[in-house]
Amino acid sequence: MSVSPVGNRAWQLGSAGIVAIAFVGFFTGLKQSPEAAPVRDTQELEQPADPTPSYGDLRTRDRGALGDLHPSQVQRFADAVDRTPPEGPASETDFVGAVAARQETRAYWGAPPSIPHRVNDSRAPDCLVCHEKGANIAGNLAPRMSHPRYDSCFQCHTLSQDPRTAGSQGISPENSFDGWKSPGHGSRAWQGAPPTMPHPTRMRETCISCHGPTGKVGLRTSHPERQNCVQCHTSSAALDQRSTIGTPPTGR
Amino acid sequence: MQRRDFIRSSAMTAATLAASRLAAEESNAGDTPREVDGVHFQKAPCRFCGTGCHVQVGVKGGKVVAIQGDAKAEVNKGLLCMKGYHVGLALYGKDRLTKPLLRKNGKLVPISWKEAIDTIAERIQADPKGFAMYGSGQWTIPEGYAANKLVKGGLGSNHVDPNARLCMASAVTGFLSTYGVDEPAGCYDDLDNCDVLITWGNNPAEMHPVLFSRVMDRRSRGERVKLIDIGTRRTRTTEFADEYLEFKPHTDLAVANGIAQQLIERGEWDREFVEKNCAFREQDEPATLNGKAMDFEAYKAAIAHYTPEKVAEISGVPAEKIRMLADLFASKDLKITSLWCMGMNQHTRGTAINNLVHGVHLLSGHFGRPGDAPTSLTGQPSACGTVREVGTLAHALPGGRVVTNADHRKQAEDIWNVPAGRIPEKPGYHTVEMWKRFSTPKDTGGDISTIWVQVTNPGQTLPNLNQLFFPSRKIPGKFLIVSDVYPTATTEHADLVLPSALWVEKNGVFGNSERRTQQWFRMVKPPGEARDDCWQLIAVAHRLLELGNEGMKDRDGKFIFHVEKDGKAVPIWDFAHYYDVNVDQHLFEEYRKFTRLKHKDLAPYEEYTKARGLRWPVVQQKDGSWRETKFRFASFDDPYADKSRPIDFYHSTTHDHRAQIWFRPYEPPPESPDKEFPFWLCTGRVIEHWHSGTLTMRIPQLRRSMPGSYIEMHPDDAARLRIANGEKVLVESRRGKLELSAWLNGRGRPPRGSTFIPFFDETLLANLLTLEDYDPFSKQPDYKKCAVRIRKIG
Amino acid sequence: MPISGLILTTRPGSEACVLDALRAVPGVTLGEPMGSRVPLVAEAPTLRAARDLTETLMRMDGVAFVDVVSVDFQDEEL
Repeated sequence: MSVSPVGNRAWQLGSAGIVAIAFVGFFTGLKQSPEAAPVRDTQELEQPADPTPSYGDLRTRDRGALGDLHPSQVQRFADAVDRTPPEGPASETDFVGAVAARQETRAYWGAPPSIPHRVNDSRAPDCLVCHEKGANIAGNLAPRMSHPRYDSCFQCHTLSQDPRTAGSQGISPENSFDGWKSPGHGSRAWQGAPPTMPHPTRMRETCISCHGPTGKVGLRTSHPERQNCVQCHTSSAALDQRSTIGTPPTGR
Repeated sequence: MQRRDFIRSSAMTAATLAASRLAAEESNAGDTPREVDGVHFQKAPCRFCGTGCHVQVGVKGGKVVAIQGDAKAEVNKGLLCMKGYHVGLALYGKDRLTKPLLRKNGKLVPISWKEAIDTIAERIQADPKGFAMYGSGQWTIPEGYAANKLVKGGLGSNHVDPNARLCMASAVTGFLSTYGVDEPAGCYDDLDNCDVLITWGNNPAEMHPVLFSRVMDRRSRGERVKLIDIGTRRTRTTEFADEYLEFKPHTDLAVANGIAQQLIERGEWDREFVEKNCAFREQDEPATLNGKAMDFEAYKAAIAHYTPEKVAEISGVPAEKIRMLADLFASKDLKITSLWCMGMNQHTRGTAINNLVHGVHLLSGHFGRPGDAPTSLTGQPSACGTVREVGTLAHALPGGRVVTNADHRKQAEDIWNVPAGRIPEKPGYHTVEMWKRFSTPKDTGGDISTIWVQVTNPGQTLPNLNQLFFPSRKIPGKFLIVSDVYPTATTEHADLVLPSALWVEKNGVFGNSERRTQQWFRMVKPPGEARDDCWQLIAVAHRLLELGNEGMKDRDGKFIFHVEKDGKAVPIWDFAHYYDVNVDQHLFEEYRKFTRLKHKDLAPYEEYTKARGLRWPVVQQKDGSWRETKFRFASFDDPYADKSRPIDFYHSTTHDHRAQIWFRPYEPPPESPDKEFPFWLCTGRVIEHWHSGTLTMRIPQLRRSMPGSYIEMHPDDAARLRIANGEKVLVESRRGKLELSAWLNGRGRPPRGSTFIPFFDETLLANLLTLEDYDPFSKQPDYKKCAVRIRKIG
Repeated sequence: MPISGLILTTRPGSEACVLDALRAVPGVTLGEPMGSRVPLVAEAPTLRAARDLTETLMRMDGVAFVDVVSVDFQDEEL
């Protein structure tokens, strides 16, 4: 059979098998040494999985650690995200830690992050199952994606480890590239003024991806109830490739 | 009242912000470098594939520190792929070549640039006819132009051929024999307008990711785009497809013929379009590229053989799927774009299958409206610009000219201002022939004694390496010169290695798959003593002049690369003075004179410094501005098309404004699986790595994501051979063998009896196995199919 | 009383005369023009009047297009 386009969200959420495959990636990634998966018949894999598999099915089909997940479980992961806002602005330590953690998965400030967990390489990306809304899976936060919906996730996001079942060489070539680092905070016009955005908004239009409940502690906003971030926080024309526009007023 | 003020100011803020965004998107023309946080951003086309995305390169302290997708670029609209986002890292691998190296007593030892240039010039001077230049679709336009002029206009030899021979030569012969002129009529705008996208043996999700998502993202916006993947193996593209049609390797010709047969049988071909704009063509004897005319009745009779049932029998694609394809082509309401790349080009019947896909579009009239286009993609950033347009092929001259045409030779000699008769009539050696002769002793016909390789890696990418590459390394008197940026599978075996500048370490101009010419400026210095490839060519030319080579002088006795500034000659052969002038601009303006003949007009260099590339023909308007052309031959857009007809094939091979619909029968491949070698082997690429991996394997993010090669096979075949996922296997063909690990249910999934190996890994050379058989017209080898056997090791 | 944020796109060469004409339109507050784009705020007594005002702007000589960015009609009965 042919797989229908990923554009159909109902299809996506309705197919627990596919969902399971997405999660297999995550959980096998947590194991110390992933074992070689048994040889599987692709014919079987290509069949649409029904949401509630029979026992016989479970015995013969490799669905991974979360193969018997029901779609409602997906919602449970989304619900598991703690949405309590921080009590106040983040501490400097948390903030610095969060910025440093971001750097770990990026070649330079502004590069698309690499994927820190295993994925099923042979499928159209099922990333949106977790990353469309954000999810909490056993304490691991899957951030909501920061940009508009694109389906071809692997176009930009590299894997952080060899996707092949075995034979990983784990080689990281020597490269002296020293990437641009985040300057950290935006600027404030005066003490207490809303800070400007220190980063471009392109591909980072969804502020709550990092500054909401699935973001890193240290980056989360203290006032999530205010939805229109750009009302107070200004973006940078230079960062957003708009620098050719206009000149500052002369104060005439 | 206060609240009103607040609402008013909010409304103004929102409107101002939106207006600034709109204005930013609009101001496409100018290019003002930006500076942010001490990082200086400037535009450049990406170094990797033929898509031709523009990036914003961030430079701080003389180093590239960041890359952004260029929001003003029409090609990529601010997005990139994983290779593009990491392209800046390609400059900083620890083992960059920084000194010229000469092999002495079997070891490469550092020498001076002077010694290196002298060595090359002396070898050429000693045997000019035994010298060949092996170039690349990664050459910039000025580099390729200089190489072409040096060899054809200077040395009076046609032995220049590029790696693009291995990559898109069949697309060229396909366009030439169909339309009389090379390169696609459509452009990427078709991807924004098509209702149906057909990928013919093509995996753009991995190989041209930005173009692929340009189409697929339309679905996220609620548009309907039907994707039909016609292939020999399931890929990431298949995952997005509405229909996957799996054909037996080499039988794509039958599939295309099946569509044509149905259109004719049902009477659903576009009579009006065909009667006005097309003629029919078939093979002549002996075979020539342009064949001979056939009438419609003869075509109808010939194509009648390819009934859906017959096609199903040959190709394995079910008859109803062939009918489904015919239904689509029969529907004039739909707009259909076909994409192809190596699957159709690396094919011993490459020209033929190219003809057939053009033919299906012509026969059905799916041509010339935005969204209706047969479009071939290129793998290299300037395969179109430097190879096809500059003509760095053994039979070609700049601007679509060929050496076999006396008028064309004269035009080139006049523009180059070199004596009449300088350019030989006989084509030089094409890639396979060149390397075969280099790997053959002189007394048995191996008349090529020196090859200078620039910007490519034949020690990894030539087919059948044991036949075409390695023998030369043991024959006395064969001298291999390689200009590159890193140690490669080729430099490892070279006699002389020259360290080159890479990408934004030099000025450059590329030409992408949609006829878009793109310019960039040097932004950082190359490491150590690495120098521009173009400078290397000019320095050797000047050394030849000093050695008394008359070919290096033009009719007026001046150096063929003479450049003046303020009335004085600039010694550009001395690297200290190379950037006293913009040599690129000088060469580009000279090359521009060649571009009018085939209506591939280019704008002045200056225009390209401002734009994110312009699609030729670029024609000056009455108000002095330069206008690019999106849809060639379509009179609503192409300034050279006759306005009295909607479509005008003004370079028709038959000089009657008609394109050719070919009849090309299916013929079996030169090697098929048999008892001894029971599996098909297909080779190809992966998204992380670009071609031979020289650059991308040195980028940690990409290498971590895909560190090594593997063989994909069907789990049933693996089970039968008792091979588990990840186990080592021995793969053997009649030409060589290779040990690698199996990846089952991996990224790509070949059907039973088929296997796939990517060729990026220099430690696991896929081309020890491949076949050097090539298409008779394009001379492009078939890397996509040969027979292998597989055995579990241990 | 609806308050709308609009962007007006002028035709090449007519930026100055459009700006002059706009200053004479009651209820319109001009922002800082950016090339051919002029951000502005339009206030009108009723929704209908707001729509009419937008259409008036659209029909003005030298105006190529009007984008509606935001409309505040919190006080309106819908």
